[in-house]
Amino acid sequence: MSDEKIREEAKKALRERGLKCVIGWSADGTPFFAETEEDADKLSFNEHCANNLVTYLTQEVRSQRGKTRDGKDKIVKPVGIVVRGCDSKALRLLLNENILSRSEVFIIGVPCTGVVDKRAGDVLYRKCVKCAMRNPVVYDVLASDQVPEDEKDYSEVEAIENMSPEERWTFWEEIFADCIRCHACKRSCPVCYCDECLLDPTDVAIRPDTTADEKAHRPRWVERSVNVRENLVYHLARMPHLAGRCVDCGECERVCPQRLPLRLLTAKLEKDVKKIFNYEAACEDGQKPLIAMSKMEDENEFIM
Amino acid sequence: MSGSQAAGSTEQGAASAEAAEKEFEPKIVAFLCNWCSYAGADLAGVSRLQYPPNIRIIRVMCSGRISPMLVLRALKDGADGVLVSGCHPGDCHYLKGNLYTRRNLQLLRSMLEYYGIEADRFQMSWVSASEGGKFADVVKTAVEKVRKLGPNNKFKVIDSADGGE
Ligand code: SF4
Ligand code: SF4
Ligand code: SF4
Repeated sequence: MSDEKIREEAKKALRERGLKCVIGWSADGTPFFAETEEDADKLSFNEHCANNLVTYLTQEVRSQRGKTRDGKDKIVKPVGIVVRGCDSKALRLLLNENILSRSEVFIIGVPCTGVVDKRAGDVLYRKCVKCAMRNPVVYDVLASDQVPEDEKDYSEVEAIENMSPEERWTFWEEIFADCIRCHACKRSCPVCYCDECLLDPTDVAIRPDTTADEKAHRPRWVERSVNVRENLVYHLARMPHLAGRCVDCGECERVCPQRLPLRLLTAKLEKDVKKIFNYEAACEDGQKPLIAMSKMEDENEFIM
Repeated sequence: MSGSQAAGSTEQGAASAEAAEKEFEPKIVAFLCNWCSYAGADLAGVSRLQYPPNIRIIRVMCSGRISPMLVLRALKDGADGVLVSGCHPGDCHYLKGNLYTRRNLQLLRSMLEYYGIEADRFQMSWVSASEGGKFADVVKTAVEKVRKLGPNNKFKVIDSADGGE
């Protein structure tokens, strides 16, 4: 049912809207880029389709941008994508931040009842057990009927908040000792789209006119060496960058090769942002970014 | 005789440990904005107000310059505490720099706590150019708070206790 609808809509859009491709999943859950109408027959959505595809979408659109030799903007062919609820929130955030424009994307939404973790033996991902964003929030067409939403569950975060500071530190210290700083979490994150990431000292955009001096003196906020201290700073520093932007889609946790419970961080951040600023990432179209706003009446109590 | 020597050395050891504890002098990096807090610090100096010499002042044009990265970098590179000070809300020379910073850094503070790191390692204050006395008080409070927390060890861990996995 929903597979047929996805395929039909993908074909129609490839034909009528001149899409570059439709990014979706194949039946075994791997990401699949359908460039022709025959390809589109392989698109599918089922509980194995766990990847958040929005990062691919940004790459597909951005790679087409640029100037032609005579200085005109290159033509960007719109790109199609199949999104679940959580993906669609990330996508809405990118639209709000003008990273993508609505005319560059064609969105097929699939209401979702959860996807399973292959590595853990096909059990539901933790984020999917209680999900408050099952239905896509931005789409051109919906591939199936909407499904009921759950209440967001912060009980795991609260459990950590209720520990003593020493317990909390031990808990996180062990986790950060296991992080190998492969940067998969930030690479796969749909809202981490910077060309140069300040948390990766090797990540410097080299242009033809970049001098040796610039390469040697690139900022090193975090050293590349892997140890608890650098890992701690890495995971602390990511948080303000994600404040009011992270939609808690859980992609970082899903891709982590060390299986670190990163959503304990992102969910905490989301909870704080709600509590302190009464703000929720991507909860409406055209929303202003949290950090780009300021209010005189923000909480002031912690300041001397 | 050897017994009394041994006793003497343990006593000495205890005494020096105590002294070391007493002598813990926190190093605090203070980021002060050019227009208010730095001028406030200047006034404190000109008025010959006493405050602990534990702070290392870095002047920035606006507290809005203070990204969480700077705070973390200071803590990572050995500071026991960080103080960020700017103009009172509404008085910012650039109108809203301090308000942006307040948002950003409040979240950082709450995340520090969540990680089990004492939130007081990072403190903020508003000090205007005419508040020399307040500046001296702020520094006193900040230093006392950090002194109580002891040295900043959590940002120095290379290997965790169990050596990782
Ligand atoms: S988080 Fe929600 S929308 Fe995303 S895969 Fe899980 S159940 Fe589906
Ligand atoms: S994906 Fe996991 S192991 Fe890799 S940097 Fe992120 S937290 Fe560390
Ligand atoms: S949950 Fe992880 S991958 Fe998803 S938006 Fe937040 S940080 Fe990025």
